[in-house]
Parts: sequence; C-alpha cells; structure tokens
Amino acid sequence: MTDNNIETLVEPLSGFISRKLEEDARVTEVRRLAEGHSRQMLLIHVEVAGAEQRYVVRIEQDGIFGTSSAEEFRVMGALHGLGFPVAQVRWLEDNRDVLGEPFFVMDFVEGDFDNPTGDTLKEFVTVLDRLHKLDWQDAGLDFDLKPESVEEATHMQIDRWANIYRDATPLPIPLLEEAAAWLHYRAPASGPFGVVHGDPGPGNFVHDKGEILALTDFEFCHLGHVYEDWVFCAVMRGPRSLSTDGWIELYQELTDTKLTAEEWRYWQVFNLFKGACANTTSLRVFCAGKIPAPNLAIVGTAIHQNFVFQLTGLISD
Amino acid sequence: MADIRLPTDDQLWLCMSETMRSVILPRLDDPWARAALIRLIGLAEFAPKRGEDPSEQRTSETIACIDQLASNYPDIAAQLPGGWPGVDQGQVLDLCSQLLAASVGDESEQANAVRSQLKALLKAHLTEDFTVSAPLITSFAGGLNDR
Repeated sequence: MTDNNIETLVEPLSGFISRKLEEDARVTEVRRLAEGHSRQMLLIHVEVAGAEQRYVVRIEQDGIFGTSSAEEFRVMGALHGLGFPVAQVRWLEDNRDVLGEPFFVMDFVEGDFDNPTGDTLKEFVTVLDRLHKLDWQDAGLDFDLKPESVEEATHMQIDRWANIYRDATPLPIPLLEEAAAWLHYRAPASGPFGVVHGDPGPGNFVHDKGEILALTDFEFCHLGHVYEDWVFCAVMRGPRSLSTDGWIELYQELTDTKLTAEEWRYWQVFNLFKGACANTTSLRVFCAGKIPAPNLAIVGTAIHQNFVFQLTGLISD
Repeated sequence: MADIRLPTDDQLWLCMSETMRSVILPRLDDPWARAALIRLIGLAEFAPKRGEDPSEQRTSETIACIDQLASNYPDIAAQLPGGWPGVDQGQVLDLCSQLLAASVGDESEQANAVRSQLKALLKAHLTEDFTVSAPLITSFAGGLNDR
C-alpha cells in the first residue's frame, strides 16, 4: 500500500467501523500518522451520530518483521485493562478482505510531538521498569511464546529471529548464523525475567508535560530478559534524546539497574541480531514487488548490512 | 560484447538523480513525499555504483578458502558436501554457516583458523557491500549525500 492511495481506504474503513459500532459511521479524514516500516499508521476522523471520533488504524505490511497484529492487539488490550499507559484497542481484523492486510483500530492518544527530554525521560524509564516487573501471569497477558525461564526465553527469541531471517532469504547468511550460535552459547542462565517491550524509547511513546500518556508499538513485545530493552533504548532508539551514558545513569538512579560490560555487549549483539534478521523481511517484500517503497529497499540493504557489520565487530572483539 | 546503446544506464541514473535533486525536491512541501524522494535519490545514486554481481567471484574465493582449511584440517575436509567443489552458492554458504557456528566457543587451532581465514573473507565481502550501500543510511535519515 502506498501513501497515494490512503484515500481509497475511506470507504472500506467506513463500512468496517459501521459494522463494529452497529451504526452509521463515516470516515471524514485519513492521514499518515507516523512512519512505520512494518505497519502503516493512519489517523482517521470518524463521524458517528453527528459527533467526531478519532482512531488510529495500524495496518500490517505483508508480514514485514514477521510480527503479528493479533498478539499485539491482545497484549495492548490486556495492558490497557491493567491501567497501563497504552491506547485502548478497539477492533482487530485478522483477514485481508477489508484493507488487503490484517489491521487493528485503537483510540488516538494526542501528545506533544517534540522530542522528549528531562523529566519525561525519567518518567518513561519508570513506566518501562513497571512493565518489566509486571506480574504477567496474574495479569492474564497471553503471548505466542511462553518460556518458563529467562534462559529459555532468550534461546526462544534467538531461534525466533533466526527463523524469520531464514524464511525471508533465499541464501543463508553465515555471519548471522555465527551470531545466532554465539548468542546461544553465551545466553544468560539467569537475570530479570519479565515483559519486554522490544522496541522501547523516544518515538515509541506519547507524552505531554512530563507524563507518559501511552507506550506504543508493541509488535515486538514478548517475555524475556529485560536487559534487552534497557540496552535497546540506550543504544538504538534513545540517543536522539539522551546520550547512552545518560540513559545508563537514569537506569541506575531510577531502577537500580547496572549492567556489566559483558552483559552490555551481549544485549547489544542480541539487538543488532534481532534487527538484522527482521530487516531481511523488508528486502523480501520489496523484491516481491508488492510494496516497492524506497524505505524497504534501504532497510533491507544498508541498514541490514550495517547491523551485521556492527554485530560481527562486537563478536570479534 | 559491449552494450553500445546510448544513453548508458549510468547516464539514465544520473538524469534521474539530478532531476529529482534540482527540479522536484525544491518544489515539494509534503514531508512524507520529501522523505520518500530523498530516499529515492539515494537509491538512484546507489544503483549504478553496485557494479557487476560479485556472487560468482565471491563463491570462488570462498571455495578456495575452504579448500585451504580442508587441506590442513581433516575435520573440515570431512564436512565438504558431495561434488565439492562443483557445488552451488547456497551449499557453499551453508557450509560457511556450519563452520562458523561450530567454531563459537572453541579455541582450538582449527576454530581459530576458521575465524581468521573464512570469517575474515566473509567480513571482507560484507565490507565491500556496505561501503557502497552506506550512503543510503544518510538518505534513510532524510539527508542528501554529497554528489
């Protein structure tokens, strides 16, 4: 789906929402909300009984990154129910009859579009820490993968991402296979086991006046070792707001979390491996010709190669 | 035989890149469209720099490297697939994957040789690719590369 044809979604979305609400609903405006490589994110204005409502439609893109809307919808719904700052999800459409791809609809949460800084980042770290420490079993969170220990979770995640890359590429990538073996060999046998967001940091939460209104983008959420999140945020998503050292200080100050150099290296390699594997799906979709978008070509080539290059260097050190 | 059709592919790519840079981009206000166009410019400048498909050359280099390792280490010789070295690229990369993965956590002379020779060669291939593609990272982030 390209940006040019989002207007064509007005009719099918109007029909879909009317059926869900069991009353006439008319989409009056649709526009791109944010750039997502694996999901199209649209803000829609919907007129229902003379009143306007705003929703976000999150649409899959031909299986890019190998994640599932159904799991994301389920997890977000459960977290919202627990009072977590997560948008309320409304409706999931699993088949492709309506928009050509699975999608779900959630409430629009309005916030400050400026890059978060200062106290907002502190609040974010506190919220993420709460997510990590959530008693997910008691809360009824249901994930596709159900490891029983942090060690099993890490091995499961390595296999998950390796299989996603293997399914997406016609040829094996030996440096990724070596990385998978390295990660298995050094997988931590213990550590904090909890709900891992998988893609946390600035750009993936809505904030206003220092308050975190909603964590977003739960497509990578899973049970695992929570250091994955801390390193991901500090190294990959967070530096646009705060230096990596600044994040490390925040983690220690607010959550008493301090990783050793070896732990830091492990989770850096893990996150680069995860990204490199996920990025192969972009190239698959681009080469299939269904979504010939420039971002997919770049993610599948330069970004992928950059991740493999970095992780190979870290493994060799 | 040389392709004598004019204009050449390189000239066509240059035409696209220059027109997008100097004619279309300055007149484009929509941020999504600008981001897409800048990435497109990056791809139009990347495409002619890729050169010929290096797969055949790299497969030959990799086979030669594995042959060298196999001549020194019987365990590696025993892993060579039937028909070696007359195998396809996928079988060569499969064997590379097995050898590299098996060397993880192993400090034997053989494992060190796999890392210092085979892994070094694969890293060199990756470096060649990434050297050409790296400017796309600037395009991805919304920047125009120097011409």
